[in-house]
Amino acid sequence: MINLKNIQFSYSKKVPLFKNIDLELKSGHIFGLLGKNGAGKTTLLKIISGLCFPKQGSAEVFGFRSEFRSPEFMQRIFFLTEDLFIPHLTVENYVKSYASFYPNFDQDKFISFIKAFEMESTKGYLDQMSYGQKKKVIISFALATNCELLIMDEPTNGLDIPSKIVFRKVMASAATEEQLILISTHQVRDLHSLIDAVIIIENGEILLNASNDTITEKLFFQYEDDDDNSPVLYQEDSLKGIFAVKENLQHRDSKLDLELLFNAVLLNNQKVKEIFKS
Amino acid sequence: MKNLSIKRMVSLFYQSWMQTKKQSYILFGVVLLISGLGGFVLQNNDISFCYGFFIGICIVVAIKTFQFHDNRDRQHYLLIPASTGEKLIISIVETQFIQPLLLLFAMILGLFLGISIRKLTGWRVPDINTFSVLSACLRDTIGNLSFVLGLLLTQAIFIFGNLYFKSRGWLKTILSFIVLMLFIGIIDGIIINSTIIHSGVTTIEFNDFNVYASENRCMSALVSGVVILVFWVMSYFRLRETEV
Repeated sequence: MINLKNIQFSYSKKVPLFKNIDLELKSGHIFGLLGKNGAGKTTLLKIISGLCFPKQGSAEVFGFRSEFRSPEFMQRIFFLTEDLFIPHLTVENYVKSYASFYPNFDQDKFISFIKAFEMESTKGYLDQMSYGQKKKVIISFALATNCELLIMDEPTNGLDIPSKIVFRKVMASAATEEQLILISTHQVRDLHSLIDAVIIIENGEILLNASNDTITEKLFFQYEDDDDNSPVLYQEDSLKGIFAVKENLQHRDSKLDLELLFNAVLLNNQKVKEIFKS
Repeated sequence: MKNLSIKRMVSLFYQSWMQTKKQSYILFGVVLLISGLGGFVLQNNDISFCYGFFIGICIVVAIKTFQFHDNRDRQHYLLIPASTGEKLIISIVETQFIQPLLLLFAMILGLFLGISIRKLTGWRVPDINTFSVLSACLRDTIGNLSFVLGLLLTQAIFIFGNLYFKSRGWLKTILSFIVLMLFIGIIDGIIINSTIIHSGVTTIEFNDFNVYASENRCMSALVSGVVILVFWVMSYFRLRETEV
């Protein structure tokens, strides 16, 4: 479980990035962390994983203060960074070198994920593979560690379309109730069917932290014209008509659209906050 | 001692070895070749050129330790599930003990092979005494406490420098060291002058003390040992507070 309390953070003294962030995330969910460029998504992930230290407040993960980077804490998390570190090692030697740090590492799972990604050969050196292949190996390794917290920063970047589909399948099959998976991404469509909770961050503030069920309970996603006169939070024209996000006053069922949600939250963040508070 | 696990340290060592073994082989080969050539063309029992080369390579090894190319390298290292103490201990053991011993072995092996080939080919006869050259090599390196401490201290300074400075650690370390030495020299000069002028200590007495201090090897070794420890401890704290 992740518990951030009153987190303040800044890279320079004059411009604070996070003013007072509170965030509580529970295991058993796949969270999508959404935000514009420079909103602080990666920094938030770094604070959670202990790579950055909050200037004030506390960041606790599974009861450990993340900034202390204790081995008991570090072996329970895996952070798949956007910039992958790829040593000059074969896949086999990579696994031999790093698997021993993770007590729950499952070699069979690793092989099955590699197979699922349809990697033709794992015999060459990692640093000589294409970016997509490197990513598949590291994603497979990350999932095989069985870490309780899996943090992924833009995991689908560099993956081709079939691989993105495999990624979603693999993630869905690998995730367990004991795990908390936090995925930061710009490419919301890639993860639409995967995540079951959404966090939206903007200007150093958490604008939304809710499960998909709560979102569709509170908001209505309209994909065709109807007579509903509920206040519109966001709307955009498309070839099929007007797509809109409205307050779900009539308690109707609708399908969550992450892009519409994201735009609605950014455009009308105060109203959205009020809706989710009630 | 929850943060010091032998199992994790073995894993760290293995992981580090797997990533650096190619460089280690190259260094080993270079030292072997140079000392072999040295042994082959040796004029007398003087092998001081080998020591200079050995020290140089050991410093290069220390300069490479914790020399992260970018934030990606740094964050990868910090995310390895091991404590700061374990990471530092393994780096120190590898850089300051295992690598120099391997390089020393390469140097001795190279000299031995060079001299042996020279003997076999009958080149440059009368030749030199193999045993006396090799025993001198051991006596002047691991048999010489001042040499060992000096090397450990130099390496410890560079390791700390690499952790302290985010980029070009080795260059900034050398520059900082020169500035520090100049500063200490100036302060030292001022203190010595004022001591001699104001406290009635004569220049002869002062020089006697200096001679005593420099001849007192035990004291010098103790001071060097403490300074090495200080650099290791500072490296620990620097690594612990490193952010990406």
